[in-house]
Amino acid sequence: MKNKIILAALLITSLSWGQDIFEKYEYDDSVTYFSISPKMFEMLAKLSVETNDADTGPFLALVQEIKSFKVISTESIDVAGDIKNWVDKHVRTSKMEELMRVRDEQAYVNFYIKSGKESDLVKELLMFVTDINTKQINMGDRKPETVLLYLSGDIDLTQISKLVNQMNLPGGQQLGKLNEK
Amino acid sequence: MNKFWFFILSLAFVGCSNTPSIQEYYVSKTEDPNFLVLDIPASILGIDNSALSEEEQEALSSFQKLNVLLFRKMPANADQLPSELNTVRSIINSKVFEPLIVMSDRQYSGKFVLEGSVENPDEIVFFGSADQGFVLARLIGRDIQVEKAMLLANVIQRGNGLENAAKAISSMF
Repeated sequence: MKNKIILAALLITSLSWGQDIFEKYEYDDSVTYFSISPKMFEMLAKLSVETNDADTGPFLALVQEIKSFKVISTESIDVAGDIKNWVDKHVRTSKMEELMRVRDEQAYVNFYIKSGKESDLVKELLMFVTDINTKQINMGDRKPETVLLYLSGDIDLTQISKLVNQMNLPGGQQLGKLNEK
Repeated sequence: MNKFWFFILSLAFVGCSNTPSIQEYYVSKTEDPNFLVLDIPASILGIDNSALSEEEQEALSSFQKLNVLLFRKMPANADQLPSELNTVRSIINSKVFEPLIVMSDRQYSGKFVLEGSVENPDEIVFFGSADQGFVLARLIGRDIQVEKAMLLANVIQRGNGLENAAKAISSMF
């Protein structure tokens, strides 16, 4: 019975995410894609049981609260347009709220969240970065047009930028702005 | 009776599938000169079992071997690459494996997948591809317990396992 419920839940999630922008561009050459699946987070959470290491301890504690992490970035203007459409639609259909907007000389960053039970924790976070000034952001020979980052779980916003910085992922710099709020 | 039908059904299922299993693919490529196949046993880490606690021994013995399959693109075999990539992708993307980490870019792509449960993975596979070719690496174990992985990492570090392994591999060439 329990299995059936899980199966049904999986089916529903996979259906509702059928038009997922991340899935759509996973194998697209014009898109840089990175994702960590819920399974991986589950496994990391298991690892943390046995660690007493002072450095990795808090890191793993944070990781336990995350279910899924995805980033795409693209240089293609067409794809960037498609991503923008998806963000607009997704924010509307999943009833996400705008957390903040930041425009500076580097980029234009939008944060959207779906709040959880407690005000400090969010269930979903979307970070959408456009108008990137490539002179300011060093990504090798890449000139990204748009970056989209998606996180789900029970996320403590103040902790998340630390995590992203630690992993040196695209978007970490922008995510750090959450702390400046 | 139920079990019997399940058996028949699973046989039929296996029989119908066009995608070879990862093991079948490995075996079929061991004779192919375009591939480099490496079977790396756990003993390459050169860790002295007697110096370990019982728990650590258990963690170490759960890790059996690392299988590496490497395809290097050369003018002579460039035609073969797309079809090999297709086959490997269909294996990796099959329902047997759960994706863990996926990354892709214009020049390269990499994917870690898992077979089995999160608590007791049977196999962890890495598939990486680039313009120059691709690599398929399988970490195979028996009763791997994820909680013990950190323990294993400590053991390897303490026994200079990675250095030993690097020496052993470089002496092969």
